[in-house]
Amino acid sequence: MNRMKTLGYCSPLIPPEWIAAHGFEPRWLPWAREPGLIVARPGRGLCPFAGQVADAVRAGVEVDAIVLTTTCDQMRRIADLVEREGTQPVFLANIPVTWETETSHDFYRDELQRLGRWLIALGGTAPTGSQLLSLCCRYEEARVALLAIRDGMTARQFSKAILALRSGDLATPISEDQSKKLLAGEGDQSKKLPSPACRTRQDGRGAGSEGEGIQLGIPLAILGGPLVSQDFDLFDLVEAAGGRVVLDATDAGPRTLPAALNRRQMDQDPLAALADAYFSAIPDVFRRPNDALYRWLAAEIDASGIRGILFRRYVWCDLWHAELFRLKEWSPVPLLEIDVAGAEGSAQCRTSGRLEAFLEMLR
Amino acid sequence: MNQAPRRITLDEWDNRYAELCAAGCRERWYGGPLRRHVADGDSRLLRLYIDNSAAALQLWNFLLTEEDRLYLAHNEGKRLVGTIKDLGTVPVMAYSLSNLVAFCPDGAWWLPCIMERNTKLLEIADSLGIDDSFCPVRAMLGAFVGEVHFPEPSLLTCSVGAVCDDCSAIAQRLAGLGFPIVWWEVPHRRRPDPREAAVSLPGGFVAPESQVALVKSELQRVRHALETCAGEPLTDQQFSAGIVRANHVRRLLDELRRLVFDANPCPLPALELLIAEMLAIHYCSDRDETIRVLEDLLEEVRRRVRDGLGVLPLDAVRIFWVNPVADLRVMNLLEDAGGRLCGSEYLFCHALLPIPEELPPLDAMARMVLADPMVGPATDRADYVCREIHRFGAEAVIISRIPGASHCALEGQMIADAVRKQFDIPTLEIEVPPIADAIEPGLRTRLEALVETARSRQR
Repeated sequence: MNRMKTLGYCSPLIPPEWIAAHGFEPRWLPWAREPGLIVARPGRGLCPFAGQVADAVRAGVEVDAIVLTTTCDQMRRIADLVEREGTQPVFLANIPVTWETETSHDFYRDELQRLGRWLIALGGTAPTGSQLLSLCCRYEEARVALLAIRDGMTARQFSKAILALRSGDLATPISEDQSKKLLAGEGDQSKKLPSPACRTRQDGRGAGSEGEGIQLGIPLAILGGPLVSQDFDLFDLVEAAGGRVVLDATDAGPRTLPAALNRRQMDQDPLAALADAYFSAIPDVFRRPNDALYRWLAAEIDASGIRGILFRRYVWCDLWHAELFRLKEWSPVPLLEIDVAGAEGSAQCRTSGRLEAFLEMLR
Repeated sequence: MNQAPRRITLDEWDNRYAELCAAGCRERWYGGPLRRHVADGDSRLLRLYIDNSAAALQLWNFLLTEEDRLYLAHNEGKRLVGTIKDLGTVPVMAYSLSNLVAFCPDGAWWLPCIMERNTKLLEIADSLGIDDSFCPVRAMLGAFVGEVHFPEPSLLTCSVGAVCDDCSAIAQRLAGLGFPIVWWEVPHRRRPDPREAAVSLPGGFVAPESQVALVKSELQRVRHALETCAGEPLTDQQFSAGIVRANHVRRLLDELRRLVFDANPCPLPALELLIAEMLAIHYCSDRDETIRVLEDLLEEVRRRVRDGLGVLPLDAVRIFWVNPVADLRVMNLLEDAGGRLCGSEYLFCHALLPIPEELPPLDAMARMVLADPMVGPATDRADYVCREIHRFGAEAVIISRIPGASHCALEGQMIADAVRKQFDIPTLEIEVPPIADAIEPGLRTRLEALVETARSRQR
């Protein structure tokens, strides 16, 4: 029996259900910092994450093909580098930066179609309308089910569950019946999936089940771009310092989940519905204008009782860095900047110290 | 009145200016001694070697009086259009309308060099969280917030998508500060898929037809914004006439570059040629005067070539230069070290290419946008550089990194790799800050080493 081909990707704007619909197994690449590799050195102005992507590909990522996106200058050029080295087929998806015009929406949908054709050329299969519909519904059910239990999970658990879902793991921790009930009662389909956030009382205790995973601590949000495997250690550092991440607003967390699928549109044009759910709903720093990011963040801060924001940025990432000052002025809660330059040993000590000081100030 | 062509200091220019005046040199309304610009704060002139021709005097005076022209146009009731991250597209459209004046606010990136510490643009950017990890284009933020150097434009446009992150991020900061911006999308130019309809672009690249259509649609939005700003429609006839004028500028520059790169001795210093090329981007806020300045400069260069005159020794090593320098003085250093320019890619080479006049104007401009080497793969830009190296017979290549620029982290290495693969010539990667005085000894040594290495291969 032939092994299903895998497609590695690391942008939340690439729908995993679209990959799966073409007979590929989507795999969210858990880029990890590899010691001793050379591209990731940030000294020459290279974003450490972009460098890690290049290093990981050079080190041999176990996927059959890779999709990268044009959402930042450095990733575009990493795609050039990876393509030049030729270890795996690479598809560079054009993700429009503008989003307020019909043209940009059409462009995004066309890029998904182009991705589909590329997957077929690599040995994938063209989905029928009903196959795509079915897969989209399964992914949506999984997302809804996951969101339904968000209150009972730590932000770290929740983000890891999202990442698992992006790798095609649709196993949900609740029953299928419960999931269907949730879907049946979800109301206005045009809005983003329910995103209740971890409701928090003033004492910092989670308002949901106080079962496994819910801990005490000052509730914080972490905001920024993509995380690599080791970056989840930051959640532990926060807890060790007396805080608790209740909102992961990085690329790993719920900020980058798509909207609920429009069922009427799904019946008529499933790809258009899928494209709308992703392109219309995911607020991100690279978008122009990027005000939707602020609107999303304001709603989440309001809903979750966050008392501080950890602003995590990669050194040389201009897109996030440029927002720091604006965020500081805008944020209703204090904000701590954590810059990440790579895998240097002293970084964790420095970050711990800064976190402790920040949390002391919040107490 | 004619002296042997030479690069001279500002002190020498004082005497030279008196000589020119005494000989009856007639200047335009922005003319005058170069020294007066130092009094206005352009103190970098004191450290530059400047060509000693009347044509160069006019070029420098034209460049250094752009602010005056912008305020004058504003006071005369013309509408100013700030075109951010736009190298020769929207200005062509804007100058097709009689009551619009377009300029590039990101051109402020040279002000911290020209004005040295007399401008506080970088300090203002620092205070807004845009520090020196960003490229010198951050000076633009200081210029907007400090309300100096240009009046607030009536319309701001900014191309986004396949552009550098620095400019996109800083433009977003401007929008966050309340400056409304019309964003328009430039997709990453990709190679057409098999059996996909493709379009050949000016300069030799190829793009999918769908991408040309997308850019055309985006430019249509920009056109509408310009029409609203101008209060009148931009007809295809006006637009085509604007393209014809733009092509006149580009043809002048094409001949100028060919003469300067080919002739021996070199008839014009690298610094003046760089400034002349910059005029193609937005005509230094006056299209007709740009044509006049370039015509005079070209005439001077033609005369020098005809008479076998030049500004550099015959054995100057032929260097191809990649990326513009933040400190203009480094172009002098190249020549001090024994080099001469014989090809350049200052990030806007597509603004020097003729715009197809046989096409509907919007189609033609959409193709020009996608002809920009920077919006495609770095390998495309490397191929372009290699073609130009071959065309002009470069003996060495300098890749000048722009500090903090997002595209420079990897691109320079990829270009250098491509050059080494195709040519047996030395390459040098340097980084040039807005004021390079502190690193000048090291930089000079590296430039001299490159020239010596290239010269040793001549033997």
